[in-house]
Amino acid sequence: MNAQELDGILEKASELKVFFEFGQKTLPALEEVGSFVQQIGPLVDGIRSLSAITSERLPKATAQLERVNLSSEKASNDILNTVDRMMNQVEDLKRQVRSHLGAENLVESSRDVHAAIDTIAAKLPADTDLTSLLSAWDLHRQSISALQPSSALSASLEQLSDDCTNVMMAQQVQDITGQQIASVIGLMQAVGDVLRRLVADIGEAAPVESPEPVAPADAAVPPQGFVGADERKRMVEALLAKARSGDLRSNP
Amino acid sequence: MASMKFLVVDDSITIRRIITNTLKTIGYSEVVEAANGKEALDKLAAVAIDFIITDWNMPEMNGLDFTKEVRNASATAELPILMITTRGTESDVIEALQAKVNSYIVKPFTPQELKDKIDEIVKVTSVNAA
Repeated sequence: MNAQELDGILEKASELKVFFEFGQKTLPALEEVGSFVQQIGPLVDGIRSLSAITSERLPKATAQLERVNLSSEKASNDILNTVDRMMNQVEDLKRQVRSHLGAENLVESSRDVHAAIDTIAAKLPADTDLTSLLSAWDLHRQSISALQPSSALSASLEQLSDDCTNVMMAQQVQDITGQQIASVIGLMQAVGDVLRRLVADIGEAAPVESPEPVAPADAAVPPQGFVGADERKRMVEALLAKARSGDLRSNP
Repeated sequence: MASMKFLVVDDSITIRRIITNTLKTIGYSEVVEAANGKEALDKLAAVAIDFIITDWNMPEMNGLDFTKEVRNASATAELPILMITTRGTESDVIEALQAKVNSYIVKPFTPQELKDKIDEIVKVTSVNAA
């Protein structure tokens, strides 16, 4: 072995030393990578299992919510149809009551006739026909009085009319909840889109075209419901007053 | 002003019926309905309207864009517009007022509220027109 060959061997040994040193340094890092892969294994499996949720359960839940919306809208319209009929009937009854009330002078004139017959009968006490006429007319007068609608009936009809209006106005809740449900549907679809892309990225499925959102885009802002309604109305009125006085600031 | 013709714009049939019935109860029987802003613009082109009541959240064209279209057209620029919507944040109201709605109601509303708002808008617009 000459000196040149010895130098070559030493050079190789030096390279091997560097390699082993590098190996010693990178080994812990490689172990960490291995451990990381072991740890994220279940996570990847979990993401893969989302495939079933995104492809079946989310669309099914969305469809169910849409059916809830349609059913409640149909129910509201059925209620409004009934309320319409009731309101029409109440209005008819109110008209009839008003026309009967207009005939109250009939009671008055019947009373006058009764008084006249009574006067004549007092002057001719022996006339049995007059006595019979008097009692017959008395019955007639009582019948006419009984036919007159009481003021309580008018009040009841007014109350019925107000109740019908209240039932009608309460149907607004269908629109309010409908918009909230539409917002939830929009959110579910957005989450579904993200999950589908995630599942596709880890190679489990081809990217799926997202369905058309059912809710209008700006319905994503949920309605505030009934809580604090008075306070909100006050805020609206204050802003309207500012707008009228030209003091409305720019959109914050 | 009982002869005024109203245009009621809302994608909810329920709300259109409620507003139309309420208008009739308070003495306004001439009502034209539309389900969104686009349909409402078509109705405005075909029928002479005196007063617009519109929702905000609607498909095709929302109430805010519809209001801007109405204000940008010389034939309809001065029409009174009342917005009735579920959107009730301060920034919503400001945005609607900047689009030049005349007034604003947050749902749910009462018949009296609707009547008061209409009366108020009619009074203000009559004074301004005089």
